[in-house]
Amino acid sequence: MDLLNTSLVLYLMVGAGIAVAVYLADGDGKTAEGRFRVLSAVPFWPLYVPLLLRPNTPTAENTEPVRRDSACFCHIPGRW
Amino acid sequence: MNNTVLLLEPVDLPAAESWPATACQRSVLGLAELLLKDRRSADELLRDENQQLDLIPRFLMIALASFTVYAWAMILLLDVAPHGAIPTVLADGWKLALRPALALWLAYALGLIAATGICLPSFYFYGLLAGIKISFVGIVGHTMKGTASTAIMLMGILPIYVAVALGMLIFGAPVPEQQAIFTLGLALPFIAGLWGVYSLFQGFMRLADTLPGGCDGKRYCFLRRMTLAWSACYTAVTPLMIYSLWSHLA
Repeated sequence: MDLLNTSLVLYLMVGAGIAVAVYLADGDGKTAEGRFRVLSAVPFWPLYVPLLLRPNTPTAENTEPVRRDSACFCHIPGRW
Repeated sequence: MNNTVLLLEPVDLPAAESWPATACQRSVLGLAELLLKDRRSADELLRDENQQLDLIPRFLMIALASFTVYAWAMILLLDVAPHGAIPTVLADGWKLALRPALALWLAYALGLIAATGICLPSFYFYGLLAGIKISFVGIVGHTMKGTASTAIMLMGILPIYVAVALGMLIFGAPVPEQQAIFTLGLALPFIAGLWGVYSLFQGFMRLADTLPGGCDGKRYCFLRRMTLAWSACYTAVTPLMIYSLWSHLA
């Protein structure tokens, strides 16, 4: 029983660390859903670790090709 | 001879109806509806790695809410049941007090989801062994989708179960029959879990198009067996987890 209690403390300590990481990664800990994520990360941290460790894939707006024929080039100051 | 040329104007055919992936549709209730009505779209959403960050906590929210409702319904039923009707697994620790009630709630709400966490590495290993192209986050997403499907099915059968159990209590059914119905009640998440397992199985089978040899090869059969092994592993771990939590907390 002592072993279980010790393991539980260690488990929850890891969970607290992961919850802080989720809070920092999310950046929206003020919304209800953000708060849920942070709180649920304490007991269910094994579900959140893969989310935190996943490589950042570029979103659609980041991967949108730059239109080189666009007229907006003339607005860029400098050598253009 | 008159040559007539038929002019055919293009007709706009209605596009196949699909669930628009707007933020509204992907809210918690929208996702629950999606899991009920169109699981294929849910699987398609899970394929997008950028959506998984939003989807997994929402699936978790559905599962937690549903298991909490189920656990408290069982607690209320067990509280009004005569002592002889309490199932044998609970009989030693059960009494009309807060601690056993909280223990039962935590055992079900945490146990059903924590078992998923324990099984995740083996799930990932099975996926790799079968040869499908899926990330660890994808595995978590599919597993949580299965858990959320279980939770939704549980919400569907819970009112029927409560009506039957209450009827037996009110009309004074024999105590052994009441005990049998409460034992069945404790197993209700596992009966609902069959739906979750089926949802998981379907989701995984749809990933068969990422197999190197397509869907026709021997690997497809292997993937099916791996998914069944996956489900068996989860089904074996979960009751053990719930019982361990209950006996420790009560």
